[in-house]
Amino acid sequence: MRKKCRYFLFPLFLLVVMAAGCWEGREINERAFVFAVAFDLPEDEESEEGAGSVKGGNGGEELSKFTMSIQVPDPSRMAGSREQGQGGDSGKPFIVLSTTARTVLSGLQQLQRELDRTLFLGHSRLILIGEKVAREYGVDRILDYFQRNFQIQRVARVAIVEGKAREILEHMPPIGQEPTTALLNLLSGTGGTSQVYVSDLGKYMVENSNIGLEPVLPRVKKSGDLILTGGAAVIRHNRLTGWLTPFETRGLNILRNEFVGSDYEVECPFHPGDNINVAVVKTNAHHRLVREGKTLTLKILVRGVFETTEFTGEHGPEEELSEELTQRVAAEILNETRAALEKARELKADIIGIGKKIRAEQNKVWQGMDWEEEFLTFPVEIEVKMEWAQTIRRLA
Amino acid sequence: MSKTTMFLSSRQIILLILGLSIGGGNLLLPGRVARVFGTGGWILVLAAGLIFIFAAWICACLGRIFPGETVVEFSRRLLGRPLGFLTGLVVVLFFLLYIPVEIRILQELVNISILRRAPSWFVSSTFFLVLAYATATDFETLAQVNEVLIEITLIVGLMVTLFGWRFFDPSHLQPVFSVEEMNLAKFWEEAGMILGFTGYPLLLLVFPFVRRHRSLPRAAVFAVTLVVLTYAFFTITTLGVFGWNEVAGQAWPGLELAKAVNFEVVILERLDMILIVSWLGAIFTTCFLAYHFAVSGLSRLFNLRSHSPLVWGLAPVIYYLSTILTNYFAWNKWLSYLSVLAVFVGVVLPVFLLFVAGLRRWLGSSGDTGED
Repeated sequence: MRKKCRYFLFPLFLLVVMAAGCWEGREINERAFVFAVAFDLPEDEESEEGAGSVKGGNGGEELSKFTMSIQVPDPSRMAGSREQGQGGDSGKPFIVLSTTARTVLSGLQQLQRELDRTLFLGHSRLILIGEKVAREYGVDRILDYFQRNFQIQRVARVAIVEGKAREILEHMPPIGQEPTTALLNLLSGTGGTSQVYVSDLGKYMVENSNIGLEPVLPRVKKSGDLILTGGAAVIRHNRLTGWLTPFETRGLNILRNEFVGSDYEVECPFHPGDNINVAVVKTNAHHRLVREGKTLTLKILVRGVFETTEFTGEHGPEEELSEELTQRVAAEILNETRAALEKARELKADIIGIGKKIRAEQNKVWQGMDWEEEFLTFPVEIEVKMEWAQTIRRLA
Repeated sequence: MSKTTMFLSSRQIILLILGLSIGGGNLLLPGRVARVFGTGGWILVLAAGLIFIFAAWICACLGRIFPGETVVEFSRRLLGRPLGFLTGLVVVLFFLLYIPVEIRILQELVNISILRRAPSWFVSSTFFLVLAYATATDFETLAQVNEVLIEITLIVGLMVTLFGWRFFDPSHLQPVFSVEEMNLAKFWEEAGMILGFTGYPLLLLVFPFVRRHRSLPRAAVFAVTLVVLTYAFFTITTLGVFGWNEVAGQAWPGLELAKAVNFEVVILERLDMILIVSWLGAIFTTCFLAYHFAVSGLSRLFNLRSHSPLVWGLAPVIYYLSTILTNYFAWNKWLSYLSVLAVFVGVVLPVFLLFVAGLRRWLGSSGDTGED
């Protein structure tokens, strides 16, 4: 009986200790959830209170300041639509706060002084870095805090903004309540164009740590009243070194097997002036290192499948079209992949991972290489073989 | 192990070895391996595993030779009273010193994930209170709790690892052995990885409670093989997902893997939290088994009838030891020293005792030792 009593008391004891609430538990209305963070160069170099002189870790070089902006939702306005938004000057369901600081943490501390709620970054899903910051300060300096903080999720999206990053945070999307969710959808490649390079904090960290591979981040820019995605930022030696166009990005996605499907427009082989739209539904790039004599060559064979989706002329799909159409689609894809490769060489950044492959498979050869130099002339042969899936609804 | 009527089946022995082996340190294993051996580290996990499988088999063989005794008794018979006493004490010390560092790992896990600002005294003391209470109960209950908790941990761990294969890149595992990646000078710093393999020395204290001694070597070999294969699979996956360089920079690759494989689905969105919660169970099993075997060994050393007073008597000492491990570097160094003890207790001692037992039998002076 005494033993049974002990077994009864034990769970009771556990309940008393553990079910009483978390240590230093905070109510949800005492927290300010930071949805997105943006970094820009400061408008001017006037020093701000709290952003005093800080010496750099390596030999005393002074750290430069950046402007850090955070987007915090305003729960009182989130339930209603924009039309219903009342009481505020902007009527937006979020606020954007900015400060100038030398480190992310000092920036957060300064921003905290403006808010009566505790800033919470556990739900931050978007980190936007202005192009000037990415070029002058480097990406790693900005991301260091986010890489070390356990609260931050590896799936948080990171993007480079062409222009001012803060402007993206302030922009209201045409549909939806706040820009972060809209931008997250755009950066997730849900549109299925493959013109966006899909990446996140975790993927960036992995790419950045790889030897023989330079990381790429998606590009975002504001154009008039719109936010545009598509294209990518090439990071070399931790700094933004150049941009890929949306088509080069699609070529890169094909070469890195991250292609999720996209539409192409080719001229009809039999009716000049007419166009045929095709949807390339999948591709697979097989990379193979081949030694020919003393020369090591990378041969990339891209295989893919497409469907015809639209004909501008009076005819529909015909069997005679098959060979010529397949060649034209393959040529389009070949052009894009070559364009991606050429841009990578122009920017001196191996974003395809050719060096990574050589290091993995031909490590002795890799040891004797100066890859930064040799990447520019390393022989790469790309071959594209496409198939027409011929899932046809209408013939005529 | 106050109840001599308790008899362990082979399945229970396997789960006990798993329960003691799989603890907080496993979440660090791929990082340790990557920092010392680079991409080919997973092969060394397998190679090192072979040594420990052999050592586990030796331990189990001792159980067949001395079926009714623990290491405390048969080491006295083999080595004489003073040396035998010392041997028993070293074994007890190994289990005892395991607990403070596991408590500290648990505290760090709780602080980085669940209760960020909870003071260490609160986390450690509440856990330790539950731990001491659980250890003071009979071994049968502990064995049953261990069965449940370690199976949950294994299932969750396996689920996270399998989900990780979505991001697996085989080129991250090449080149297999690259000199530029290896840093053998760091081995001492990362020697704590050895402790993940050395759960099987508990066999030295369970021989009298084993139902079928003949199947003991098979159970021991199976358990350690399972441990080794699990670790190798976990290491391969982590290296394949992140690459050697990234893993080498991570303190908790196991958690990072869980964070990386999050799904945007309600229950799986924070897979890392599910992993942490289940791993707290694994740390609990490691701690209560280590605690139990420490006090049960001590009570046998000093011929005490019950081990419960010892549990509460040692509690302040263990708690104090856990408080001196103030940060990652402190408990990591502790693990390195403990790994030396683990190699002694898990490899050197069983081989030596088996050698002495064989020698005495060969010399015809083994007395009443014999096969069961």
